[in-house]
Amino acid sequence: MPEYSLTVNGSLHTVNVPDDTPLLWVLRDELELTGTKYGCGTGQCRSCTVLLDGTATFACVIQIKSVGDRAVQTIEGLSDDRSHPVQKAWLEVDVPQCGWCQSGQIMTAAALLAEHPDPTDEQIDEWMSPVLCRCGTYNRIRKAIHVAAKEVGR
Amino acid sequence: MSGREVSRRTFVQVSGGAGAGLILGFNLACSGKQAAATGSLDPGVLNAWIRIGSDESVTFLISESEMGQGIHTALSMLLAEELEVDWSRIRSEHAPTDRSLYGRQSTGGSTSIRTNHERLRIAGASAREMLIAAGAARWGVPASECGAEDGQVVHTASGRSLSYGSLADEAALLSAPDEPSLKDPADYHLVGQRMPRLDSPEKVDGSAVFGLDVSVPGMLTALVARPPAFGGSVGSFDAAAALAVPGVRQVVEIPAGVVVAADGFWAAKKGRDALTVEWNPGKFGGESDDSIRELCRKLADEGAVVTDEGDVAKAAAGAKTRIDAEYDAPFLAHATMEPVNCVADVRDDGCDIWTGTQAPTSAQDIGADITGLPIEQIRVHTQMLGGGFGRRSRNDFVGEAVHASKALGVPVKIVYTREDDMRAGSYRPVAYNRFTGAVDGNGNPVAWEHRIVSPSILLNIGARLQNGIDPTSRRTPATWATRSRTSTSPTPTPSFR
Repeated sequence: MPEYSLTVNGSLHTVNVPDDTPLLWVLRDELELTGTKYGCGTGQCRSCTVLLDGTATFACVIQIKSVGDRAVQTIEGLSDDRSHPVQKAWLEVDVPQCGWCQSGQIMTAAALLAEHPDPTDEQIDEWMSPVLCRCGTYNRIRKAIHVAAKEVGR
Repeated sequence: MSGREVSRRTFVQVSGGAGAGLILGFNLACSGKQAAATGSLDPGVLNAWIRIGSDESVTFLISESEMGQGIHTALSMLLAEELEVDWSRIRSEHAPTDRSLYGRQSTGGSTSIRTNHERLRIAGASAREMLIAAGAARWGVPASECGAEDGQVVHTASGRSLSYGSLADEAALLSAPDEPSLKDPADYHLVGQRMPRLDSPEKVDGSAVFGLDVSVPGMLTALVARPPAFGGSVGSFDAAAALAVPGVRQVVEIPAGVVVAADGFWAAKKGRDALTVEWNPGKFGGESDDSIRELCRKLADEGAVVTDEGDVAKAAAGAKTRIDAEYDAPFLAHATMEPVNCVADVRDDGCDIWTGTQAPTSAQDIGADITGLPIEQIRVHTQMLGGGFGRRSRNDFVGEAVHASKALGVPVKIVYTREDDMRAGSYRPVAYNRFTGAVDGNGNPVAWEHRIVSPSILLNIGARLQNGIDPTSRRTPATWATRSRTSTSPTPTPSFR
């Protein structure tokens, strides 16, 4: 089985997996980083969103052979202590319900704020509405992103 | 609150395991009248648990399943209100599955607050009074001179105080009060307020453990190849190609289909893709959306008459306006964001089940049925639920995992792919409604005919129906006819939210 080295949350890991293994299952089954969630396996629900060199990417569809030397950041690596502005805002607004989609929501929001530090409602909706939430937390997600933007802007 | 008559008499099981602090379980006796009225409650089996650590931590073990509705937070508020502890000290966990302590554990139908409101207030108040008694004994003063606030027992006259954590072990040795006094709601400082959810922190850093996140030593991850139609079955299968996939360990048939068990999800998925199965289509193998639509229309012409008053055809013919309409609603999958899953570990001496379920005691029953082990040896560890909506009240995934672990002799995690969730789920029933309505020149209704065709949810849970309809649900205008047709469908149809 091929061997791959990848940097996840700042740590270098080596895994032996078939080259078509989606990054999601490398993270969950090989590295035991279960904060990144499986929802559909086809890039449609975005629960599995991680950052590759800062870019929001669906871990369920990108294969390990395509990750290359890009740095992987997961929800576990966003901060050590829930201190990322998005996490703080998420707690302030009490966004999660069941929580399954929230890692994907938070990682997407982090990527959004990196590109648009003070996003409009329209930009938030454009970025966040494809990240499916069956509980319907979208209104609080939008509110929390505005809260986080205020901190980012300070 | 419902009008239940609940006796305050409690009997309390106390256990103070070494260093465990105060562990308090309640068994709230119900009146025989209540049990007779509901026909569903075993007498005396409503419970709750409180754990106070010597480190001042307060852990509430909640017997209801947290699926995003916030029930762990809401029920913890009731406990904390009476216990008088600071909200920041509290954490909640899913309680173990134990009907001798908690009664039947099943979360659904918006009943959690109603069924737990009083017993959790009593649980909190009883623990508070035991802590006060322990503090009073330490000081050698009457308990009546002491009170409780913010995790402390206080002796007002002398200004002394002792923390709950320092008293927990002593309190655990005391008998619980028969009639703990409940707070006056006017004095509430938590209930009625908006409190931060207890489960939010672990859901913003990825540390919350859902069923799919569970891993136990020696576990295989398995996907099940299921029949293409409900009612179908395995004819034969060839496991060679599946077993040739690196990481695939075993292939075995269980009642639900063929299990492909592997080191991880991806190998299991590729193994199942490679598996060859000949299916017996079963009685309903030829069904399709079109055939179901056609069947609905046929059944609408038959069925049982619920109400037939007056002459609809005649009234409609003479009306100013007549409207005919028909409506179809499809089967809908619940589509919980976390596809259903279950880890089971069946051994000779017991069976452990880790899953996000709305019905832990039912999962326990399933484990006992399949393994033949006594119910006490089936331990169901409820995990966070990535959505429930009624889907997780039906523990078909539990049965699959128990069968698979029993057959393979190792712990097995059954995972549903999203495709499995859609194809082999449980569905909001298909429904067909046909109406004829007519109004007179003043816009008043003069005729109404309604034909309903749908597989029944309620029949499956034993509701009292008359010709398939709740007889209290109808109103009667002048001319009224309703026909209904219910039948058991091969397609599972549980509650849906």
